[in-house]
Amino acid sequence: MLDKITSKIWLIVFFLCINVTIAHSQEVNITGTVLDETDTPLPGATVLLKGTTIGTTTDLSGKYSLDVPRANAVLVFSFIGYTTQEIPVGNQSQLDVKMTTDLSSLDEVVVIGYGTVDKRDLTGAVANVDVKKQEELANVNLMQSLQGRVAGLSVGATTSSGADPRIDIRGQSTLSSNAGDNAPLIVLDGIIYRGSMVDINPSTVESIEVLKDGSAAAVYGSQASNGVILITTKRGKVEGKPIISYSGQYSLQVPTNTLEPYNAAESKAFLDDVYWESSRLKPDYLQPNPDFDVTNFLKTQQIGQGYRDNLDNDWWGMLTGNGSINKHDVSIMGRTENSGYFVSAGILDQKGFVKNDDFKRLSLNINMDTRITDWLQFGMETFLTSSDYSGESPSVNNLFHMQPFMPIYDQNGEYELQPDGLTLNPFLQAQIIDEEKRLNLFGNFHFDVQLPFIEGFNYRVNFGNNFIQNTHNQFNQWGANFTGEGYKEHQQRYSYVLDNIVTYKKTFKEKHRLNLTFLYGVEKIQTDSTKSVAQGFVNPTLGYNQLQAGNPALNIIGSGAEEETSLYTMGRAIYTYDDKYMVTATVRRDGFSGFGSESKIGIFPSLALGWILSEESFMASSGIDFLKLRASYGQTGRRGVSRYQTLATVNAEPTIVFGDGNSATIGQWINSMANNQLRWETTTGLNIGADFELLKSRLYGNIEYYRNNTKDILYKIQIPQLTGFSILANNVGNVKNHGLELVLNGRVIDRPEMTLETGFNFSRNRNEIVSIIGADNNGDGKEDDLVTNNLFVGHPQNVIFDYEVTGMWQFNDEIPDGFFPGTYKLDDANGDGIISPADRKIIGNKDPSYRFGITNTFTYKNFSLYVFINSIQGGKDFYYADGSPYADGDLFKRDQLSYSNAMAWDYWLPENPNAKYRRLDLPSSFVGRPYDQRSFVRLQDVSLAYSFSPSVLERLKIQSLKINLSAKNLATWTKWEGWDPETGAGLVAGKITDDIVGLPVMRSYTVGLNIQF
Amino acid sequence: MNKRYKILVAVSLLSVVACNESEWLEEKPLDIYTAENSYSKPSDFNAAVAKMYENVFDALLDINSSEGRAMHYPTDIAIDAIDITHDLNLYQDKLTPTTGVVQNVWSKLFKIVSNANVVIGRIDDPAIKFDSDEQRNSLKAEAMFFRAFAYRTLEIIYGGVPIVTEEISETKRDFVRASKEEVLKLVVDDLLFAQSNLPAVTELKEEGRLTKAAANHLLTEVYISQDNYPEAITTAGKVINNPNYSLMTDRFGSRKGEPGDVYWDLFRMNNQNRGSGNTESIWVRQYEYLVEGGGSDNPWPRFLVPLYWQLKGDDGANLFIGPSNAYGGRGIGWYAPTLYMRNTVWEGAENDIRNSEHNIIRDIVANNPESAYFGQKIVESGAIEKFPNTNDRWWNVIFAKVAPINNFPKEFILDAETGLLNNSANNMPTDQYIFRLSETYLLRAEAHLLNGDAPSAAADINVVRKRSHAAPVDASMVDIDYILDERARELAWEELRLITLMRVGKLVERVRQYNPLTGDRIADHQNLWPIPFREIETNTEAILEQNPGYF
Repeated sequence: MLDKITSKIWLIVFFLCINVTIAHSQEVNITGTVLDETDTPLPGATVLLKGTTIGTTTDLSGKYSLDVPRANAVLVFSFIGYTTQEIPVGNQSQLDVKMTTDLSSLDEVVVIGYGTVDKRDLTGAVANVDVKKQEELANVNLMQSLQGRVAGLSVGATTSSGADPRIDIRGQSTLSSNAGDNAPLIVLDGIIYRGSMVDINPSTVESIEVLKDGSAAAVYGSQASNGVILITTKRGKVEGKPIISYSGQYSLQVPTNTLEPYNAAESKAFLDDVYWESSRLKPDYLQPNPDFDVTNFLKTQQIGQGYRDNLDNDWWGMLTGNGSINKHDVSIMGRTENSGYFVSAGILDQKGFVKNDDFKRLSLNINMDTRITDWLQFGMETFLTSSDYSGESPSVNNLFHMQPFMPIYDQNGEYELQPDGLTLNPFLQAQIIDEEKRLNLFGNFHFDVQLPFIEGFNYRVNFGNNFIQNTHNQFNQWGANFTGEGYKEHQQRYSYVLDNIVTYKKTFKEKHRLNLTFLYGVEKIQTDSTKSVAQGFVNPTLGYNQLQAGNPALNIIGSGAEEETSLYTMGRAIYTYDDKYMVTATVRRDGFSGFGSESKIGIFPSLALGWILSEESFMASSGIDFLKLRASYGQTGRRGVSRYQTLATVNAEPTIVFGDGNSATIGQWINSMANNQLRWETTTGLNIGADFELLKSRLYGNIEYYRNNTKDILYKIQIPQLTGFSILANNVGNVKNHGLELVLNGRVIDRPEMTLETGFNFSRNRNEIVSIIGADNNGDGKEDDLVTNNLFVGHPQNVIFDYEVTGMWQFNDEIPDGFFPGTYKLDDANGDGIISPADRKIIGNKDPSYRFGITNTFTYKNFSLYVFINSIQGGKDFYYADGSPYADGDLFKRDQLSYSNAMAWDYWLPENPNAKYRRLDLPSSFVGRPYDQRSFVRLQDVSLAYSFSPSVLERLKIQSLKINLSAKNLATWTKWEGWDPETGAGLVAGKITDDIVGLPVMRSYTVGLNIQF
Repeated sequence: MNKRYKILVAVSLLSVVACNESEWLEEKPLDIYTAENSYSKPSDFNAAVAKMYENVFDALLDINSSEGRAMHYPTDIAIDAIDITHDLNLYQDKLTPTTGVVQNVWSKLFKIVSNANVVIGRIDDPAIKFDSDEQRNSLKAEAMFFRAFAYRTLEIIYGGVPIVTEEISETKRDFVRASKEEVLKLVVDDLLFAQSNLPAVTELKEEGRLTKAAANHLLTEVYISQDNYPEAITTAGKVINNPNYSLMTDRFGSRKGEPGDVYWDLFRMNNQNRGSGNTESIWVRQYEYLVEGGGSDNPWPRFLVPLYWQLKGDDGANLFIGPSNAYGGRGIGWYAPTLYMRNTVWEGAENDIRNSEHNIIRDIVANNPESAYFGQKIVESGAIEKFPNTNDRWWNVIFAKVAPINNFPKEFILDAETGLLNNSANNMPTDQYIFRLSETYLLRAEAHLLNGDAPSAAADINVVRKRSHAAPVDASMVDIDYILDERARELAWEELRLITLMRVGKLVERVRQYNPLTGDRIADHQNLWPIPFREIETNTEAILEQNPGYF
């Protein structure tokens, strides 16, 4: 074991200190072939003379040739994913090596934030994710590749092109359920990255690490409460011939769900049902009323005409359809003696389900590093991404609800301007000229200084820059009452980070290893925006590029600028004794300008311990190959406030024109209350984990238990509007999360030509509000709930607090005021004989009970098959949501439904008294709604790949060639009736909340090609 | 060793970049104003006062919001014609402590209180340099007026409410209700300051701002609520006897050459401010078409004009080619005036110009050439006798005072020849009366009547009636219901009818009497609205009592 470590150290030495002189004497040439376990030649493997920089890489047929001095020569053979081997040369001149897969990869170097550590020295809960399969799967966003793959990490589904999914790690520690408030910190190549995830081209990513516990994340102090995701991009590592790669993919996307609006006949029947009280005859409302004419209730004459003419326009069908993803990447990677480089270019073109929901991405990456002198190194990681969302999609909500008898064209054959009498024709909406682009420039530049006389010392300066420019230009010739409306909007954000990192790594007396890190840095973010709007265009020809053609009296201009700063200091010590015992201690001190003047600085300490039991002599015959126990305890923070939130802000805008023919007077008012006490939200976390390997390392994995306690939560509390305000941000409350995570990997079949690897991950989180504002105003001895904010002491945060639906009122019932036949019967929870808000109670939970994912990778000769199953389960009480049609109870009105198409659902009618959902036409005073469980199992990824064998490749003069077929979201098993259980969208089309949109999740079929020269 | 030490020191120095922590972390707002620095100049206070003018529109006058609509129906003059189940028709079922409109009217009025308190609490700071004490006090008086206006309205709708007279800058959840008398006392005190410090109309620098007369007008109403009739009569007199105010009796303004009468002129575009020659307006909500900051246009035509353009004759053909400029635009008949408003109040009012064919259009001519009734009047010809005119939504009458008859801006006109309008021709591009001299007369009449002086009450009412050529009323006929009838004739769709009826305690009675939809769905306790449930729920440190009858 110690040998392995030594070799590792030598490798590091190789990278760090090039200044080693080599004796040129008695050289001898050694050749050989490096093979993998299946005796397939392994191209690109590194062969290195131990203790020197002399080395080479294997060629396409796995062959190498190296001149070495005979005396005591030891060759080191290494390749990513395989165990490094050291073989003394002895007298041999031919040395063939068979590499074995490094199952546990314990000797991998793991990125941990402001440094790296050998995997076996890790003391925190850090998951590293294999992103190799990525190239076969149709993922536009890097985060999609993590969906269901990492225990404790939740990544949501998306329904529109180029969208960023919601990400949570280990549940919700804060009180807000808003996606942004729960998002983990993203660190890209060592620099905190606040841009869009979709701007990172997944093809450029080498590895992803997820820091889940407080001690691992503590190096990021006040921004780490939601966990940290570290992304490392590729770089040229291996000396030898450059590797030129191309990969291309085409995906066809079809909706997984076929919820559709009614056609004309169905929509007419629905309208009769909406007006059932008039369209049918009393008293039992089962016979049609011959005198009823629904066309009087239609919104315009034209719609009535369409109804009579049996117009059957399939609005939805015409403006939605299959999507596609077209993706191409080219890269060159290589390394010479002193320099390494990775250059990549990628384009992606995604077409979504709704017309014009398109996304185009162009990305260029250049990473390089070079050794300038023996004590100075320079490196950079840069990218340029242009993301293009141009094109205006028709509003989904509008599109779905267009009645089939609404006319698309007028009598002249032109598009009807307002087919529903109110909103612009969706076909015209799709013709609005729209340009929406984002330019993202990222550049991290760093110098490393090593002092030859202090071994293990390194000083790094990171200068990370990120410039993001958003442009949104639009010209709607039908806007502003058909006089034309156009705008130009520019926003830009520049941020920089300046980090000074000092590290010192030293081994004392063989058994003591020390890894020290000291950090001092600052960050600044500056934003800037302008928007100009013009209306009433005299000449619309030039659109938004000639806004001065609009009516000057209606011009609207706006501008803005914001600035925020932070500074931080961090110290970390990792100490390992005898490769068995390890300690990590961290302290970070953070300052942030956004906090109240009283409390700008926070301090976040943590401590973690590790013990490799399997190294102990008493475990020698236990049959356990490896076992490590870990425990950590630490604090992290969450900023939770955006800039300027501690200040009382005053809004001002043109408000009133006094008199006739004058211009406007500015009006101003205080928009929010001040709170200069606002400070960090702090999470204190305990994590206990074990890593293990059994059965000759054929079964390995880890198990984690955690308990996090968050206090001083930054939260907007609803206050009486008697104050003139409705909310105030405050530090309140105490929330607990505890959970369990299990990861198991097994090499089920391990034969020369056939392997099956199975991975299983499971996670479960439980959340509890311990305290909110600590008030007991009702004097019952228990802290009061904050009902208006839906927060209840002693319960999880995302409970459903509502009236319990116990049935449906029917004709012959004695119905109380406010209710009608066919409205829900609600439980009189407090038994006072009337229904009032006091009857609401906790009837379920929105959060999942547990999640699991199963990966299977099966290889047979040159074929490999990958199958991934993802599941979120609600158990008995969890994962409920409101899937009702028309989430807004307000829409249960005859007149609203009279101009709105719908999809089929089980609603109450006299002949359908036991329907799931209430009657259509009429709200009751107190609403109530049935909730459904979202549990699902999804066959998320299936991929079949074929790699051509070396003999073929050699003839083609290429290094590797792989083709693959894959499918995403092939099947979903669920009882959820709505669009998709994972998005939580029910029987409603269009935007439901900020996080939930009623649209289908797409299934994709992909063909891909991967070639390396 | 020595060397190593030196290098470490050098590196440490490099790291600890010479940077002053508190300076680096100081928050510098670049694009927002803060409460600390935004109330330091007269122009800041002027802006803070200007906002409240818009707040009033937003809270009570905007017919596009359910708050604005609730001020007019369901009352004795209007129903929600869309559906029996729509909005507040089913008053008892729909008006509960959790109803949105109950919360919104409350919070918007308390926002006015809050905005006023900021001005009142900060304006007397001697560090703020005003041109004159007069300037300072005049701005303060406007704020006082708005606070009084908000509290007077809250008192009428919700009863006694918590009194807040200072700027609130930290969380507060221990509000308790004050009595109605306490609220009214605060209102009177504020208005007394306002009426002595607001400018007279002749000194007003900007049209549309508050004057002494506006304060006295409101004070009259509040004195009546306090049962202080002599003061009410005196205060009203200060407006009525002011030579600068008089009822308009002759044709005037932008369209005086067209067929019509003076009452019709009062409601044409640009005829509300005094610059048009109008001497009876006291407080006018300012609206400026097509100017940024000119305000939201009020879609009265959309809501009150019937859905006539969907009518079909008994030949099955559409009677109209679409929404018409001549008939007030694209109404959707959301409100229908009750029979009381259309007919009952006009019995014996043949000469009353308010009931003339210009002001209440009771029949219109079909303009669809494909209809058998083309060119004929739709009611007279019997064309719509069989049309299922549910709730009078498709046809009732057109009140010209809230319809820009032949006055839609050109952007809305699809065909100038036929007057066909597009689907956005919904709005009324005019300023809008909040207080008008006619109402001051009717308020004084109310005070006289309650003071036991019916002849003086009749005399005041007759000033209003005389201008409209209506026959004078005899003192023996005058009671509170007569005054409410006269207010309907003179002030319908201007006054906030709900507030008038609640103020005199007649909402429930008159809704039952005159409203066919809501009449049997309003409960005895509903002359007051409930306290919003959210306010009770968030006011965790004290109890806000609910009004009787609500849960």
